[in-house]
Amino acid sequence: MSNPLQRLESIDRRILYAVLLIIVVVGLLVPIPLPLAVGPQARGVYEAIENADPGKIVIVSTLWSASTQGENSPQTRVILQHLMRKRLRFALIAFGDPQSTTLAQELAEELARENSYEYGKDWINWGFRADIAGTLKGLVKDINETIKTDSIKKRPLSEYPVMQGIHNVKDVGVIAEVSASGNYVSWLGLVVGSTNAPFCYAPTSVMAPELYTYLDSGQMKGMLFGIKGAAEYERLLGIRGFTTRAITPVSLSLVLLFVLIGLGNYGMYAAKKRDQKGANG
Amino acid sequence: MEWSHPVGVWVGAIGTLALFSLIYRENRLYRLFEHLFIGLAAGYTIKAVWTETLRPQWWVPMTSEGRWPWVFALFGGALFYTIFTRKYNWMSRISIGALLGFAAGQSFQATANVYIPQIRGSFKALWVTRDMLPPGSLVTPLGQSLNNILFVVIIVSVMTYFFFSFEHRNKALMTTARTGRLMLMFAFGAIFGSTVMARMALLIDRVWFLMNKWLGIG
Amino acid sequence: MHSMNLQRLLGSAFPKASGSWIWISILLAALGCVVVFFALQALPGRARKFLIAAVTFLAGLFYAAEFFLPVDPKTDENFLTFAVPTVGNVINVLAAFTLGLGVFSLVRIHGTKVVKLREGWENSVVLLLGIVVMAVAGLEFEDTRFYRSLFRDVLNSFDAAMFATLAFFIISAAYRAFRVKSAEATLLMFAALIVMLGQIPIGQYLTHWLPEKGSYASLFRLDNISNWLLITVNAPAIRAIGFGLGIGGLAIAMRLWLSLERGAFFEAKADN
Repeated sequence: MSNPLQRLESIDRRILYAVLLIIVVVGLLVPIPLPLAVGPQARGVYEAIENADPGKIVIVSTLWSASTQGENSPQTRVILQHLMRKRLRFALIAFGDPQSTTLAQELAEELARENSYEYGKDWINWGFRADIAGTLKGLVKDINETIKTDSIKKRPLSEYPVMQGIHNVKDVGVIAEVSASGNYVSWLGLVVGSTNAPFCYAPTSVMAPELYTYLDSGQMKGMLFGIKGAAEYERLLGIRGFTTRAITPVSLSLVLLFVLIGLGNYGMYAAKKRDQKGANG
Repeated sequence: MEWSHPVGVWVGAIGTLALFSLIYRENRLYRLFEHLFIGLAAGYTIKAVWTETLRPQWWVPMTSEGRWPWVFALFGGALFYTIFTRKYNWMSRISIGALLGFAAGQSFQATANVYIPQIRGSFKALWVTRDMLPPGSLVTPLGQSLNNILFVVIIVSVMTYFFFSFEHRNKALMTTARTGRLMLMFAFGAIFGSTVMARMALLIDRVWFLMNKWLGIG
Repeated sequence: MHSMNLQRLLGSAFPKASGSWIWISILLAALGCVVVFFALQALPGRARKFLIAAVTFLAGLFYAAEFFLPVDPKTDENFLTFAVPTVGNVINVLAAFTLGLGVFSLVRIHGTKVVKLREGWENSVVLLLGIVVMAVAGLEFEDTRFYRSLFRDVLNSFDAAMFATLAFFIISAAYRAFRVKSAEATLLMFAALIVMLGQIPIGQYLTHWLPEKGSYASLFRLDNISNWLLITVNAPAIRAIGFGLGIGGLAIAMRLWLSLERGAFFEAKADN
């Protein structure tokens, strides 16, 4: 008969699922007030927007669907909140998944109501584009000719006050992309070299480690590391939104993961020891 | 106008629970909602492609602005669909080839702009003096020198690991490649940890939807 | 100067139509397309292959030439730059047509399943209904609460739920598979542990009593260690992988552009 310690190696998966679910629910209901250090990456995004030229437009590009909204939605929200606080005009553009344009628009509409931001005057939605590279090449040359009409009212861009004086990417103050995919390659390859606008990225946590190389080379000025990056940004903005609450269950579930890995390894070690004992007599 | 309705929230919540039931075992309710999800997603694609791209960029310029040559884009687009026929499916390769060609042509600029700054950024000063540090930097020159040396050593060792043009028999080469392999494990570890964090964030979002939006808790 | 000539030439070759001429032009162009379609089908196998290779090459040549050819220092443009937005729109429209391929395929497969009453046809009916309801609601009733709720409450919830199930699987998989059996596995686990502890508040709390910066003691804060590891150890490893990917990507792009690539698509016969 195996001893209880060895059984740690094979806990029923349903028990693991139940523990995870309980941890998430409890974490959401009882947020633990713990410190969260703001890293230089989130600070980089903050400073890029803080120092943006008010005469230029900010592009907020989104490439995410509801499947990653747990991370990308709060990231989009904090960036838009900061833009509205700074009274910077901005344009939304979406790639990859058509859901992206509607989800970003919904967030922008909600925040615009709170911040008295007027559509067409302070912000605009350029809509969804099926092809990324061709569109980005077009934006470098001529934004109006590439985008043609906005996504909401379907009217020519040139009719909107928010687009006055905006011709190509040289008239862009900051480019921020919130993404669940590796679209940064297109931005870095086809746009970033053609403008002085700082490029900031808000990826899902999965992608974040692979982007440090672009932060090191200066091609990216800042990055929001998944949901944690959004929580850091909330700290910088001095607000307590959903991510401040969500960071507790994120922490607890990662602790659970480490505990489970530890238990699994301990179980393996105990089983190995027993086998050795059995072999020795 | 609101983006939400109580009836929709109920359907969304029931569907969420049905889709979650997969973690217990595969079942009919899961299958049903899985199909409903795929159907709604496909329907949404039709809507979005028409309203976001085809209508403003193709239909309106062609029919209202007199830019009739856009009809050729329909021809190019229709060729994709010949893939479903046995007789004409070779024609789909004309349109696919055009898209591949465009992507290949763009890759020269993209590769140059992405990788040249990366290569430039890899030639780091191995001996850093105080005046080379950015103003206000809290890192000491020695610390920065060590960081830079480590950075360069890791790049070289990982590149050595991926160098397959000849067999790694030389001991120095083998040690360098082994170091590279260990460093790669480090990077993969960081990616693994972040992946767990990402997945947890997705679950938290759903649990919060069920708790807050559906049941009104919290 | 050259760009103006080319632009003018294209403008005169494809003049803008107005009034009833718009529909007449569209109809004539569409008829021309039908003629071209049958002319293409009449081509022999070798000519078809040549045509595919030529179209691929010319498409790539546009962006390659636009990038490599010198520009006028005053305008920062060469004679092809004016066409970049239009070509981008053409690709965009073509790419949009491809999105319908998946939907078409779904309808074909599930339609057949329903008609022949194959096993699981009830689910296929739900799928087809889902397509119709969402497409009609989106196209005809976009500004209604019904459509908005269908998108936000129903479709988004299902999409998010599908991916959220991964959280359960990853916990279970990590627990079962993450066994420390070699130096590599140990390093992988160590990296995951330190990096993540440094990113989350509970981990940061363990060393929060150390100064944040400006002292050697700050080097031992978990958030600083995590950040240092990501920047100084993880970044160069990823960069080295990137160099390989970059060269490989460029090589594949060249092979695609020049139709040198091998495989099912490129070697398929074009003489059906």
